[in-house]
Amino acid sequence: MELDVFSGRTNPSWSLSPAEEEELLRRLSGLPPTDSVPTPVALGFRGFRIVEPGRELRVFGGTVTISDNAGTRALADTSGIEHWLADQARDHGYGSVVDA
Amino acid sequence: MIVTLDAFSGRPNPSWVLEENDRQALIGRVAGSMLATEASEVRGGLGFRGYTVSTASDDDTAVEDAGLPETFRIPAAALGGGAGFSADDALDAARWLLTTGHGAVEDDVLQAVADQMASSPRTYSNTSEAEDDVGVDDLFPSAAAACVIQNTAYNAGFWNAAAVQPNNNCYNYSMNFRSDSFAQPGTISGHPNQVMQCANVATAANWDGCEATCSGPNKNVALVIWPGTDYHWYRRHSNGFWGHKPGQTAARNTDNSGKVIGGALSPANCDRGPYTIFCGYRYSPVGMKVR
Repeated sequence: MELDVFSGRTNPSWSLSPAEEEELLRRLSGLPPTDSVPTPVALGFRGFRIVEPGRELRVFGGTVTISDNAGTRALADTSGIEHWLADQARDHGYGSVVDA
Repeated sequence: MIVTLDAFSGRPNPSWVLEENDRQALIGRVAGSMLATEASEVRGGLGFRGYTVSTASDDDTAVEDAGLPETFRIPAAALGGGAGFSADDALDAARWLLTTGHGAVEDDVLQAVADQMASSPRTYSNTSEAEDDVGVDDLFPSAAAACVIQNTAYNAGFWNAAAVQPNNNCYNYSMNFRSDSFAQPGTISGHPNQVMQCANVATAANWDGCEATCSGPNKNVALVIWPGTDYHWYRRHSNGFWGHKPGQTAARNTDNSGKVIGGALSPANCDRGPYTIFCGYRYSPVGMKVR
């Protein structure tokens, strides 16, 4: 799990616990596809990046983008994944960054 | 263009960046001959084994234009002569390339390598220089340090390549040196910094060579701060605008509002998001390295 936000410093990152991984899968289940993929700004909060075996997820602006061997597809974040991850970031001490 | 002197056994080999005129001179010496080789195998025992030359910045297209590989070696074995060059050509090139390391390599190392070359069985037969006893101070004269601004053309493609983009940040981009280490101000000079304020980041960069005053060939850069959190750098291009690379993201010449950072817009007044503090403009020497 990576908080994509910095320019000079390395982005903050942490590992998801088994329970958090299960919660992520639960929240990803059934998300509807969307054509709306917001582009993050250059400087500042650019979303969350989750690297899993075989795929990478990006969560930003109400959209979850999944990239794997099948290609890239966008899903609407109707289960509040971004808010849930922002809470994690605050728990890990990065509240001032996500709330900037 | 980075030259690495392959001579040590225990310590890391020293390396330095060639000045523009030296870069062109080296290309002129090796292009079209087999003096430069892509061979990765390193032969030779202890002592001078040759040079490795590689490109490290986005404006170094001269190597490709000359038909040379991005990384090539000039092996000490070449001092015996080869296809397209004589033994004297090779020795002359090796001795000349050694002089470009003055200031970057310890004098005693330069002297030792020069002595090894002088003891080579190949000798000059047609030189008027008669360098039987080459002192390090004779290798080349010191140059004046008048400020010369040499901003390079915008080349985002170099930084946005798959192998480069995730491993190089704003500091790499602004100093125009690909280290693949997500470089931090102060690291290469041994003065790392953890305080995200103008004075601290600027001082760390100063140790690396990026100063508030200009001496010699330099490029224009600018430093901004997200107070207590992070730093960001910009670099001016000869195209008339500023470029930057926010962390792992792509290099670009636009600000957070999507406007090109040129004309009336500059790092001082463009949309910088949370990087609210403009620390000022500085000078990054051409060829400056970061890590």
